[in-house]
Amino acid sequence: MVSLLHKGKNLPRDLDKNYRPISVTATEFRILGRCIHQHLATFIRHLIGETQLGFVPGCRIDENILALTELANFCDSDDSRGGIFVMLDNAKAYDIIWPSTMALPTKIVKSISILSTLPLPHRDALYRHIVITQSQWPHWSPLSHPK
Amino acid sequence: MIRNDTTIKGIPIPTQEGEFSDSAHSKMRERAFADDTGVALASDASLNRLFEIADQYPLGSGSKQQIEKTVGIRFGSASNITPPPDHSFTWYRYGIDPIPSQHKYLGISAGTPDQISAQWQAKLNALEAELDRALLSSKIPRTVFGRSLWVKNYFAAKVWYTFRFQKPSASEHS
Repeated sequence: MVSLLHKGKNLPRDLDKNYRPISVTATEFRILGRCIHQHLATFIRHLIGETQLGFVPGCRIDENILALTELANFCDSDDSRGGIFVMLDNAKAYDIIWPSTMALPTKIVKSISILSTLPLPHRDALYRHIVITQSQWPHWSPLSHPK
Repeated sequence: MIRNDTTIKGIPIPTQEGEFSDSAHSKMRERAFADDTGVALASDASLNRLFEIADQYPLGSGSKQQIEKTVGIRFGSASNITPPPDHSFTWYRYGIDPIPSQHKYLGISAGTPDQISAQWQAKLNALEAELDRALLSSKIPRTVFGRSLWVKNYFAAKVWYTFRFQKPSASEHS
């Protein structure tokens, strides 16, 4: 079940874009979701750029804020230095409701719900597939990655 | 797309030894945390190419760039240069112009020292008021350990994130 959480502040309550969808999921969903997350986390760094820090293991939001602060102080410390910082507003990426895109999370929830009913050997086969996918980056060792 | 574009020039940053080089790691350019993307540019010359990419990216990703909500902060000598008129988003001069709360970067304001000081004062007043309310209603635990835990948790929830990056001034601290 998906519930709608108002984004707060003084945003109008009659517009669907001012709500975040949240849901309470079953225990099996959360365990399987976490398993898949842990497998993906070992090689996700190779799929996305090194300047993207969101949800990447070992990366913290602090790095971007400190980088901006240091950059501002560096540029302001000498008259010959300068630069600009542009903050792009990326809507429709994660946290607003669009009826056309709601179908995708529903499919994922259904897929994982079906997975949780699979016999153990089939689930093992799925995990092996994920590990094989991970082995396509042989230079990457999960052991060297911070947990 | 921004990462692979060589025509967008980032801001050169020195090594630990204070030297500059032409390598990619010696410049700060794009930084992202999920959908929060910030791009550091050496000058306004790279703006046109940046917004060409910003126009193209939604075609493949399904996201939507809201140019009218884009914010630019100008540092150092760039603060003295008038922004180009063909990019009609909001500009601020770092340390000079107050920046409204809706234009924070990852929840942290890059406003003037007076503005940051006022924000801290408001946070501390709210913290004090909540503490007074809790004391009057006997909501907080009676033991010293319980009370310290309550204060710590309340502080962590309301103030800690900001505190990691911006400290209140000495007068506010007292």
